[in-house]
Amino acid sequence: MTSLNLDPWTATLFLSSVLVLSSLVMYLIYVSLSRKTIQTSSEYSEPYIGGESVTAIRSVDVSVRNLFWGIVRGAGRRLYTFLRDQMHNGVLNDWGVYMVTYIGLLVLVALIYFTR
Amino acid sequence: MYYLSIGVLVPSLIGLAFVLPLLGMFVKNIKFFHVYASAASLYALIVAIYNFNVVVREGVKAYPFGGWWPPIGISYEVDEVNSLIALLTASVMFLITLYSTWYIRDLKDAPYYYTLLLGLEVGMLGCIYTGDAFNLFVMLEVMSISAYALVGFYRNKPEAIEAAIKYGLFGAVATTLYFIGLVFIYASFGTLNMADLTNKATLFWAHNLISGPYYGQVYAATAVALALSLWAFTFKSAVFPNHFWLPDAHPEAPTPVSAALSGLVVNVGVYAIFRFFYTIFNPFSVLSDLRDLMLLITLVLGIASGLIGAFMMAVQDDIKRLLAYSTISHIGLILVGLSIGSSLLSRPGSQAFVDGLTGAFYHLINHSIGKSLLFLASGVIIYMAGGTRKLDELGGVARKNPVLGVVLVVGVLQLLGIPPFGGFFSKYLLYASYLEAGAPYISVIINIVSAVSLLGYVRLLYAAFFTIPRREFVKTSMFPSIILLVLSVACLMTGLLSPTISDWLRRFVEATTSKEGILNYWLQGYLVFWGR
Repeated sequence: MTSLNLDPWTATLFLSSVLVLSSLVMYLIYVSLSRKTIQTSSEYSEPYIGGESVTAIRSVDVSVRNLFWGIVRGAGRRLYTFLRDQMHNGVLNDWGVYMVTYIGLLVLVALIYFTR
Repeated sequence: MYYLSIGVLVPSLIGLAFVLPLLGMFVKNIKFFHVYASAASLYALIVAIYNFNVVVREGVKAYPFGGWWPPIGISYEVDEVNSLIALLTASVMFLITLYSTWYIRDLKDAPYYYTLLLGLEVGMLGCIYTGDAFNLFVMLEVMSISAYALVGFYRNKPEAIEAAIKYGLFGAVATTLYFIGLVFIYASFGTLNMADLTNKATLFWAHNLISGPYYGQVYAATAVALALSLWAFTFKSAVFPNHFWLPDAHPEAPTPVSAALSGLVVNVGVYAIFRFFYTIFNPFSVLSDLRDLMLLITLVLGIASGLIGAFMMAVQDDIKRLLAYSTISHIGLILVGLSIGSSLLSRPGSQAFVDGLTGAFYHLINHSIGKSLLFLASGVIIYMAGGTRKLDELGGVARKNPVLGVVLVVGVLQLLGIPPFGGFFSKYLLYASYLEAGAPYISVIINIVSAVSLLGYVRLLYAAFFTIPRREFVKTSMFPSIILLVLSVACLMTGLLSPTISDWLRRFVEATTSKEGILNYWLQGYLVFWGR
């Protein structure tokens, strides 16, 4: 089996072309599948006397934005509770704890290292 | 022979900056100040280009102020690396000043704004050009004081005032700690001239008539001094855990200032770390154990910054805050590259060593251009949306302004590291250098940082492109778009010219960090007086 040996310039051109082409394909798929505007049924304004409403099923769609937040909140709840609420809480004193600990550790490590 | 252009740039730009409030008392036409500031910034760019050209052609150059023989007097010393960073700073600052002429076109306080903006540029160029550790402290103060005032420029906004106070308080602590570090250095070495310090730390010719021999416990004093200096430099470059001020300060500043702070000011801290740990306390220094330890600390901090910045990007609702966290992440990556010089990771001059440093400087250039582009684009977006910075309220803005859409995609691809943009090549060099150094787990971490940051960038692009506009957007003039397109072309060129740029950077790194390069830095800086 032969391996593909390319110089960095050719490899870049090749990789860029692949990326552009795949982006184009993705875009075309997106355009062909996405709805241009919010579709309303012709029956939307008509009162139903009975039966199932089609729009009721459609309304449970989860938007991409909500999916994003669902994943972030689901997978990273503990991480972000720490990062946002405890570490980056905007309180000067809490920042100070990290910054003072850092300088303390730096000086301590440097001194221990050279007076060992 | 020494070059006047190296010494003249910073003092003359200070004069041009601080005469502005005086002119403001007599000249009432705001257009005058737009033209004045743009001309001053163009002047800085021309001199920076000249200096870069001189250094590339003739090697390291120095300028002793007031005709005093170093190490008594202050001297500026320019080699390949700092002349390049100064050129990058002057170029991006010129575009930022031009953009400011649109952004603050009707602002009554234009003279004060431009005084501070030019003051910021002076501070940055001074920090980069200086060959004196104490002058670095002075120039850090010039830069920082301009930055504090610019962050609090909208003095009617409580958030801006709070951010400026927080930044100012911790910034003052940082520069004071650096000053105390200088006290330790001066007490031990008897000098603050960088060339002379290089001499004494490397034992080229350690005893000289002017600064004398060593004093006291040099090892312990230098250890404390470097610990204090590293803290200050990591504060200026916003590296974990000294990064807290940045996400508050950068978004609250006027947008062109945010671009300068995030794209350029943070570079000064990175450059200072390079100068301290690759020139003064270099790998051949008798204190190399100490620098190895400090570089390992910067590696850990760089990784932490990269990850924390990337994770925090994903949950931002404010476009400028998202970009501010991206800065923390990218500076972390640059610091990871800069840490390769620890002898535990690579030998000086080895491929890993050169690739790592080349990657760090390449990424610094890519990040400066890409981040300035995205911040300036965010200024146009915020203007179009009537002042809101919330991503949810900016939905579909790229559909209303296709040029802005293209620019946003270019900036994001540059920072994400997607070919053919420069960010790809610099990240690749960082990645390859750690593979070469036998530390593949760090290469993997670099990839993880990029992957996590994708979440944040996707949020930005999703809001700009894939959301149906819910509000009316104001139309803008073409002028800011032209500046954004220039920066976009620069992003593309950093990628398309990657073989040339990486070769140049590799040459610069080798020339600056080799034994001959360090000896040359000392000789040129110390003996410049003889060349008069």
